[in-house]
Amino acid sequence: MGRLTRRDPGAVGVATVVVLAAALAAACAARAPERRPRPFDFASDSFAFANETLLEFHVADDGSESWTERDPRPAFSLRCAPVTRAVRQFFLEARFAPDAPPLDDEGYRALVRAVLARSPRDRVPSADPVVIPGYPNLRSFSAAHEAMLKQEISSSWRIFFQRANWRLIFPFTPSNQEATAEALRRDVEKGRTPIVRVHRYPSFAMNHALLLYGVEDAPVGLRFRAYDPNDADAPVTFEYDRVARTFTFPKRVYFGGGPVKVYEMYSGPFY
Amino acid sequence: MAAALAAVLVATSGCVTGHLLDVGRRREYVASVREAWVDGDRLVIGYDARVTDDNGRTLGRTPRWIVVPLAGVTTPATLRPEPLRSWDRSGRPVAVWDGTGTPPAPPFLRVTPAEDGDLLLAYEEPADPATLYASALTQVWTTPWVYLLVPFTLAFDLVTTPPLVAMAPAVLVMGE
Repeated sequence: MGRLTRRDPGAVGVATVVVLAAALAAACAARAPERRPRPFDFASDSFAFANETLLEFHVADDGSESWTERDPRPAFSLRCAPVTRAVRQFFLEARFAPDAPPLDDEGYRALVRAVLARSPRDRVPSADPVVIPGYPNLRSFSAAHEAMLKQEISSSWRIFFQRANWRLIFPFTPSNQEATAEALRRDVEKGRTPIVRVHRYPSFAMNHALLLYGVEDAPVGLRFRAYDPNDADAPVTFEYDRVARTFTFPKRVYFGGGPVKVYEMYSGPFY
Repeated sequence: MAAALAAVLVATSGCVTGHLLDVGRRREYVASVREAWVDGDRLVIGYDARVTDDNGRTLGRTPRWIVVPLAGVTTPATLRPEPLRSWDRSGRPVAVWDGTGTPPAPPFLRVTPAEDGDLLLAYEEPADPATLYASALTQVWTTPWVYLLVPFTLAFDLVTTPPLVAMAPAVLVMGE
C-alpha cells in the first residue's frame, strides 16, 4: 500500500472506513455477553400479597355470566401492571442477603424506592443490585412489609399512564399474535421474564398484566406459565393456539375465560 | 369542528378498521364428530363446528367437512387440513367410537375428551393408532360483509388516526 498523502483522498477514505470498521468490530467483540437471569421461582420471587380485583366474575348453573362488585371495596386494587413491574424489578435489580443485619422500616423503605427507581425496561440482572438485608427472598420480605410495599408501589401518579397503552388502539391481527407468541417463547427460553398486557380492548372484560417465566409445547401451540399479580398463591398457565392463532386465557375469579390479545409492555422505548 | 373531532377520537377506541375486522373474525372449533370416511390416503371427517366470534362467544353450530392426509395425522404442528364444502360420501365409511362400550371392528375413529376441553381423535387400524387433537382442525375466517365497510372505515381512520398518532409522543413522555 502506498504512503497516504493529501493528494490521495481515495486512499484516505478507504483507510478511514477500514479503521472505523475495525473499531466497530472490536467494540462488538469486546461487548460483554448478556447476563442470563437465574430461573424465576414463583415461591420466592413473587409478592406474598395480591392485587385485588374490584369485580368478581360468576357463572351460574344455567351458564349465564355476571359480575358483582366486591363489598367491602378492596384497598389495594387496579395495580396489576405496577405490581408485575415491581416483581420484575426486584427479580433483576435486587439481591436478598438473609444473613446481613436487618434495617428499620425507613431503611427498608429507602431500599424499596431504590429498586423501584431502576428502569422497568431492564431485561437482564443488574451488575449493581440493591442489597436487601435480613430476608431470604421477596416473598418473605413482602410478607413482613406488605403495607409499606403497597404504599410505595402505588405512590406514583405515573402508574396510571403506562407508556405501552398507545398500542391498544391499533389492530392485533392473527399474524401479529403469532409473531408475538414466538417472540415471547424465544425470550422466555433465554431466561428473560417479559411482562405482557392481556386484554380484549375495546372491551374491558379483560385488561391485565402478567410476568411470563415458563413456556412449553402444548398439543397445538404453546403453554406459558406466568406470575399473576391477582393471585399470590399460584402461577397461572395460558396457551397460544397455533391453529386458531389466538391466545386463550383460563377462567379466573376476574375473567370468564376465552380468547385474549397479548402484547409485551415495559420493553424498549415505545412500550 | 375541533371539539367534534375530539369527541369522535374519545368515542372510537382507535383504529376502526382493525376493530371492524376483529368483529368479523370467526373461529370454528370441532364440537363433535358425526362421521368419518377413508378415501385413499385421506381421512374425511364430518363434524359439527362451534362457531365463535373473536372473543370466543358462541354464535351457533354448523355442519362441516374436512380432509386430513392420513400420513400427516401424527404431526399436528404441520398438518394442513383442507375444508370441504360438501362430501359425496365416497370411499370407505369408518365407525366413530366415543370410547365407551365395546369398540367396533377396526378401522374406526375414536373420539374422546382430551385436556382443556379439546377432543382427541385417534384413527385406529389394526396397526398403531394415528392421533390428532381436534383443535388442529380449527378454521379461522372473516365474515364477508365487513369488507363492504372497509372503504368507509379506512376513510374514517385517515381522519382520526393522525391526531391519535400525534398524541403518542405525549403518552410516551408522560407514560411510565
